[in-house]
Amino acid sequence: MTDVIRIEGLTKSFGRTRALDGLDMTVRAGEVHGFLGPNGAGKTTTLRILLGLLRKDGGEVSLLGGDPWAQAVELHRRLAYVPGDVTLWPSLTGGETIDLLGRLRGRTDAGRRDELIERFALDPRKKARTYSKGNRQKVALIAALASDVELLLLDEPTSGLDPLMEAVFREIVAEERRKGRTVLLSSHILAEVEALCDRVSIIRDGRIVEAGTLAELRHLTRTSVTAVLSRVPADGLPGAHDLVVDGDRVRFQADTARIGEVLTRLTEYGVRDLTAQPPTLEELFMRHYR
Amino acid sequence: MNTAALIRLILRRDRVWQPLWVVSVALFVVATVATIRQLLPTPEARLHYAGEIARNPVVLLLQGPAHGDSLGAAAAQQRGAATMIFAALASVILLVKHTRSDEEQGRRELVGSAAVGRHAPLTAALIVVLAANAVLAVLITVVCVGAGLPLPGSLAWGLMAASAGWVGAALAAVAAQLTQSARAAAAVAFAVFFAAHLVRGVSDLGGPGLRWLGWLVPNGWILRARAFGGEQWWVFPPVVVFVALLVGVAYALAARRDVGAGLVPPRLGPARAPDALRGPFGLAWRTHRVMALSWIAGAALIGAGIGLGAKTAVAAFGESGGLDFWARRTGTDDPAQILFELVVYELAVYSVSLYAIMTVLRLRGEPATELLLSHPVSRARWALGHLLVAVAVPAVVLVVVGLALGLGDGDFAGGLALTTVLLPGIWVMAGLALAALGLLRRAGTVVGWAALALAVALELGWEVGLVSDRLFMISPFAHVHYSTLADPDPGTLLGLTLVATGLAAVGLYGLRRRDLAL
Repeated sequence: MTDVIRIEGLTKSFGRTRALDGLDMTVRAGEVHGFLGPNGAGKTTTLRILLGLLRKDGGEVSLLGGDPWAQAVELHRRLAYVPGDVTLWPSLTGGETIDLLGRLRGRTDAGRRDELIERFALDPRKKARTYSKGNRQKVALIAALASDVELLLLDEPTSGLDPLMEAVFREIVAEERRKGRTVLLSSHILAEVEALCDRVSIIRDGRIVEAGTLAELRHLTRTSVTAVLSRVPADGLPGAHDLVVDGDRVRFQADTARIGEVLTRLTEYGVRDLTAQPPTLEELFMRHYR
Repeated sequence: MNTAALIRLILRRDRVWQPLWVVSVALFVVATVATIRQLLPTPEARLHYAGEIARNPVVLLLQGPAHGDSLGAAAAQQRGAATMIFAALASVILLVKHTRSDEEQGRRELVGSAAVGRHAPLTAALIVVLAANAVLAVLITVVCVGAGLPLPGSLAWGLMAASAGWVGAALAAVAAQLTQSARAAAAVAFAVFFAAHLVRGVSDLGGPGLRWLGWLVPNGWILRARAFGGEQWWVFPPVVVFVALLVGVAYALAARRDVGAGLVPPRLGPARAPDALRGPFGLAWRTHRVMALSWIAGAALIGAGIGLGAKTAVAAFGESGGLDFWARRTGTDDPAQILFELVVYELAVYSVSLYAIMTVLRLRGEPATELLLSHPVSRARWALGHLLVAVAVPAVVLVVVGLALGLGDGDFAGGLALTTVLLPGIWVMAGLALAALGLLRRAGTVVGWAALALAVALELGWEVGLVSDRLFMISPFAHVHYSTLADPDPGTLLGLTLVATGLAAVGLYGLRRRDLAL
């Protein structure tokens, strides 16, 4: 597998603020890669450097095998981008905007365009000035998805969409993955990333603090266990963290790698009921932000 | 009802622009009085000026008649209308900025969700703009009295400017309720004001038979206040009533519409883009076309007006000897021709430069830049799309004006020669704006406008002899000037064009190298 995006030690400062502080990230061909982080962590800055809109201060960035700053125009033929805060030309209709953006990229599929407009339930005859945030986002999404490109860069693309449209978006991204397109999906909606992404990178203060498949990340963390016991373990339970005893009910976290051991211990106390949950992405994420 | 808090917010956001425009108008008045004192030093010269001016249609149309032979009367006749137009323009822009623009940007919702009354933003904007005009009235009165003019006339001039600003603000308050966008609201309000100004002008041109026409528009009442010429104070109360009525209409309309929407409902547009809308150049034309076509149409109208009516009258005035001092200053022996050239030059060069700079600076405020540049569009092609409009539309405007000037006497070549020669100077201003935008991230806009303001200041200073010929030559317009100072032969014009090209190249280079201010 080749890497579509490879970033090593990327730095970028705005005045005295260090937005990116040695960021490393790899996105492989054909994967949907989640780019997770709270507001202000550096997601949009990273994407804008990948687009050649901002110039890096240091580090190495390779995009589709090229230099995103020097070869911006050629590389842009092979990718499509949806900004986090979509602004459009107020006097153009949605349909005109989609056609214009398609013509700029050169390869348009009219059938695909109409199908996407239908699926996203967009009225293409309205002027962009009258569109809500969600509708502006739909225009940018349709223009991006209707183009025949290798890489999609999506910056929080569903932040203005309603749950119905978000479901449509998930379906379409799943289809795109089957077609072999690479997607970099920046988001802070963890359920979306969990549902769609093969691998994730978690960014904090301009650095990647965790990267890998969800399974890999989970392996490094803890499983939450809730059990109803006949006997309460009075002097603790080896291998269990954050043990909370509430009547005959106990809750604790166990290292996922040692879950078997802990459960064996637990049976000594007479298990009447047991639920074990793998860590959600939210817990993985929160671990870095608490 | 937190109007007071909103007023403080507006004052904070406009702490530069509000004082700047008020002080600029006052300085303009000071400069005018100084100029007139130099140009028309004696009562005889001013009497002559006042007597002859009545026959000059361009001056009547744009400035109105003179009311007396005093220094103040001549100054108020020369630039009184200009101060009115400037005050109205600033008031329109600021009122729309704090009403519809805020709605467009979503700031109004944020404010509206707080403990703020429905009409509070409109009230706050009106209070600030009306108060700024009141300050302007005081300031003009003070500077005129300071320049040695009588108090009543000074006060009348101040009130004229302020009244025009009030009318502009009231028109903008109504337009902001009607149109679909902030830009359109400002354009409609100012167009109505300027049209009313021209209606007043036609009335003054038409003599006593058409006097009633001037009473139909507030601009007519205001200009008949006769500053320094037997002031007629009773014209001002009707202006106040008119403003109050318009403001009442604005509130009534505001109660009937939704935030962010005009009362004129939006129409549906085409679902598919026309063939012309492709690439950065098609997009730039689409962005600028309404404005460009309006400018070309306006230029054709004003050019035809001058060509058909004013050319001979201007010539007659120039020959009458009233401008002998000034003719010597410009180094000519044919005052008639030079006055005509001056009228064309002053009308064309600054307004068309304004258009060119405004067009280039649209690059900075373009809404969808991030989306556009994520496509295979280089920054150079993106900028060139707008630059092409800023280069080509002024050319069309000047050719149209030049041809229109010949409508009266059939001298089309002469008209064209007069206007097209200005073009390279205007291009330099456009190139300068692009260079500033390319090299500086945020200050680019300020530099573009400051360059134009500096050129105007040099011109005004040179007219009264404060600025030497040498210093004036740093302005590109000095090289295409109507006076003998300039020698607009092909070499000069080519040189200016090369300077403009060089500046544009610097701008494009800078744009390619820097981070985009998104």
